[in-house]
Amino acid sequence: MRLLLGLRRAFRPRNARPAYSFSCPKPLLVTGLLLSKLVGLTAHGQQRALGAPGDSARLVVLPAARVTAPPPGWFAAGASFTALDSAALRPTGSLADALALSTPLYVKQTGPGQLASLSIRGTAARHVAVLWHGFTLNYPTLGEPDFALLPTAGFQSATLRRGPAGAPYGTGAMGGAVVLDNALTGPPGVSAVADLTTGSFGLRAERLEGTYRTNRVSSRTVLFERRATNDFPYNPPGYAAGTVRRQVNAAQQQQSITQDVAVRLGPRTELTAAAWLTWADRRIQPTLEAANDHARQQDASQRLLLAGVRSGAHTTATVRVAWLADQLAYASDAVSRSASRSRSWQVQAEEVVVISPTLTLEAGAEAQRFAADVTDYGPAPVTEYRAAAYAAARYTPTARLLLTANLRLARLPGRRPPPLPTLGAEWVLLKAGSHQLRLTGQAARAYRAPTLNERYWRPGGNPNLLPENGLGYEAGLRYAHQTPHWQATASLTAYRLLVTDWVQWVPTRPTGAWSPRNLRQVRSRGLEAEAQATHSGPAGTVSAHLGYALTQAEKTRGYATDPDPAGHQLAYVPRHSATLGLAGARRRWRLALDGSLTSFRYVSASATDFLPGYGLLHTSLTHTRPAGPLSLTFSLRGFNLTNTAYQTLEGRLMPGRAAEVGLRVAWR
Amino acid sequence: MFPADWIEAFIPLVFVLTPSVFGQTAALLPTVFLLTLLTLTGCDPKKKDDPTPVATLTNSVYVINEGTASGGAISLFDKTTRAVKVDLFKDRNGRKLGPFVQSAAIIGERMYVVVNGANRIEVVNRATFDTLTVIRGLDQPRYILPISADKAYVTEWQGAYPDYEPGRVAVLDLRTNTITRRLPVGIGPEQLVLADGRVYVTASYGTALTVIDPATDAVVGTVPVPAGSRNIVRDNTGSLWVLCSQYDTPTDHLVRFRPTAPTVLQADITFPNAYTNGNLRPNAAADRLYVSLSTGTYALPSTATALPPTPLIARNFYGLGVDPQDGTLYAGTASFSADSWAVRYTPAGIAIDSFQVSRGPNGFLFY
Repeated sequence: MRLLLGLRRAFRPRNARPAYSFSCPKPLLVTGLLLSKLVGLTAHGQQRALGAPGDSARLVVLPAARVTAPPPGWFAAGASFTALDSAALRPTGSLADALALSTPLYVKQTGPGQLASLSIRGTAARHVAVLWHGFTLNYPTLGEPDFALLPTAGFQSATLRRGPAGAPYGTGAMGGAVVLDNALTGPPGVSAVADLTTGSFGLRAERLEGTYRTNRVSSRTVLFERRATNDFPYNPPGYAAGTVRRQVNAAQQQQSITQDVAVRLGPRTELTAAAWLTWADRRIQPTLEAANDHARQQDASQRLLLAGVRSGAHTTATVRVAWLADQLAYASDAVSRSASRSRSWQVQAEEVVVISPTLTLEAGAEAQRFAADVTDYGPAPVTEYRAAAYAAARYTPTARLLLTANLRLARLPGRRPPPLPTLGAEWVLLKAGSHQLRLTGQAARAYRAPTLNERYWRPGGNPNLLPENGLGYEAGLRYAHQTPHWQATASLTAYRLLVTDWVQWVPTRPTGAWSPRNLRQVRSRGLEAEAQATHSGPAGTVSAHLGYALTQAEKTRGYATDPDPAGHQLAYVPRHSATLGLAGARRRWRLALDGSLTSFRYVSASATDFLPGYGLLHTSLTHTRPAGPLSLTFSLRGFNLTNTAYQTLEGRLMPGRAAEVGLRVAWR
Repeated sequence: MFPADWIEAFIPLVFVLTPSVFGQTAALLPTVFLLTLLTLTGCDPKKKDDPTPVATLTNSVYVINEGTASGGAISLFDKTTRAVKVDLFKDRNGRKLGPFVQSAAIIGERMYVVVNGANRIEVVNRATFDTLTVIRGLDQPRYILPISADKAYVTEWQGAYPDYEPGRVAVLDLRTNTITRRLPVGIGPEQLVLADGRVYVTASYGTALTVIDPATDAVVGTVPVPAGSRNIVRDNTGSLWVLCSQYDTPTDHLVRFRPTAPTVLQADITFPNAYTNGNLRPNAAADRLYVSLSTGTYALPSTATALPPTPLIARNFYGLGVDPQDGTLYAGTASFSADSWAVRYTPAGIAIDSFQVSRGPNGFLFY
């Protein structure tokens, strides 16, 4: 959803009347309350949203919040969402760590803190879009993000949407999308938080956060730094059990600065500015049995945003302008220097109109200009323009039925991808006492525009490459139960996703250069189950969660020039994956145990060699105590407690047992 | 391999924590969930136990699979039973060979496997594939040429792309498996050949071959060639054929000259840059040569002065081998995202059959 995530609760005047920016609060409030009951979310830190409309719960339970735009999911009935919040987002970790820890998604990592990509519903790394204030953070050159370079210090919470979502999120959201939320929350006045972490393998991390809030202005500044030597020990395969080596060339450091400001210019006008700067300097871990080639990669990204929102009687208009720039420099014993520099201007304008208590519409447009200087594109920089128009509707004909529709019309250089519609529905099947059961369904198209690398790489770049197209369906059941002491949700989703014109690099005639071609069709089918229960009583809170994904993804059709065979599970897509967690909180103590299970993964398209299945177990213990005006939180975390040797990509080692000690000092 | 201790760690906790909160009967549910999940995620596929081919003289073909950054492999093909063992080294030694297995040579009862991405040579017992020793300290090693029972030469690149520096030839003492000397050669040295008491070393980014006297391990001169050279073979007349192809030049050359008169080219066949691994290979009699270009795989007599108008096989191959016993062609397909195939052809270019190997087969050794 191209929505103003950062502005949702951007401004919270103390004396303002409860405001819902669509300006006809009552009927919508009713809808919101109904939905909040349906989903039954609580403000508990462990919450796992099962349906996006649940976010509307937060709209109404915070009466002082001024809401300037609908939350993600407002126009996405029937879509599958998972919220990652405080418990999953370790203050000094990365988005890759958070996703690996708390979702059954397969996070592919070339090592701890090294290049991390995601496979959602059997799709490839380039088939997930990461959105910051409505703009995609995927590198325009590569088409995918590096989840290890997105420290959790850069955002407040994240919502994972599984399934194709081309209409709301644009290019790349084929398997799903991760929407980062930078809502400006916190107490009025000045407050500050410092997090200090130290841990195994030379880990040191610091995070400093300061917020300032008045009736007119909200501001948050976050500074973050993390460094690790990553010289973790391992027993090399093929050597005696006692043989221990230490990982070489894996040290890294990264920094991040985030600044969010919201200024209320008038009773109905707000201005938001945001900046997110990140730097990373990583030694690139060689593969097992490879020579240490002393590879080093330095990344930097600058993201700047300016947005304005104006609310009318029945409308909310938003204009956003962003400047996004990424630089990458790589060097090793084998490559003396490879550099890539890209930047883009992006602008979005949209308007949300409340037609009636049961009907909300949205319409918007965006334009993007990309420019890139890449060693392998040749001496001249390349530029490219893209544009899109989009619209969405949300309709609640009865209290039990919710319907949404989205459409995006995109324009690429020399190409017009087919229209991208999304249709979704949710129906309250059963409502008995504190129990709710909803039936959900969605059909969606998605696309991925050819990346700059695919178009301009020399040799082999293919300017005639077609966008990849996805068509997905899903249906699910969502259960919710809420009593004063109990809160439980469960969901089961079945999906089918067909990707056509899937791009593969193959050697081509006459020069033999590798070139991307639209070569194949890939079908992914699966089941996703999530369940969580929380019991709150006078003695404390206990919660448990479980997530499971069955993923069957295979190439179903290809051209003769595509060397990969059809009919096998795709490489690095586990058929089964699960996460399990237990947490208990009592007085000032909290203990959590998180586990994940991942079945075997083939390492090539031939489905012959594989990496064995593995299980990981992590734990955390935190204790909070006041100290004068301060609040101190001590934390102890243990990772991979069973010291399991595992790899998410063949030959790329991951660390064994590790520990982390943290101290959080919060002032006000 | 599934960590059993994981179950031991998790299940008691479920039993302890869950009943206290959710009631006794509810404890069954997560346990059933857990056990189901453990079963689902813990089952790895069983490896098929193919009848393992045993290397026997004149009946065995070793396939060199270059592989990817996660490792390469040596496969064994039995010509009689057509059985294939895909990864001899890993099956025997429990670890992979390392990234980019560039070449290998059978020397006596050993095989020397040049692992480019590991900067080393793995020395194995050819019959059992047990690892014998590892020769380290090489820099981007490419090809190995046995000079005598006690000595071999290994080409090494120096520098990093695109700033390559003059390469070198490492002199290997096969008795001790140590490097005894290093000789300076051209930039990006690739294949090398022994002809009439001299070793000729190619240079990818140079316009000269380096000539070495193997008796003294001394560089004794250079031979000019039209462009960067990569493949070199000796034909039945004693002439040398050199395939020259340089990434940044538009024209490739296939040249032939006599070692005694290297400046007089007996043939200089030119074609647009179409190297893609080249694979210039002679048959056993060395009266016929094969070369695999992106326009196809060609066969030409050692007297040729031009490429045939049509290729023998209208395909390019990543690797090519000629069986010295019967002239059968072994051709490797270029797939790195999936296991590749070795396709067999008659000397007339008619496909016989194929067998699946590992990724990126770039060469064949006949034993």
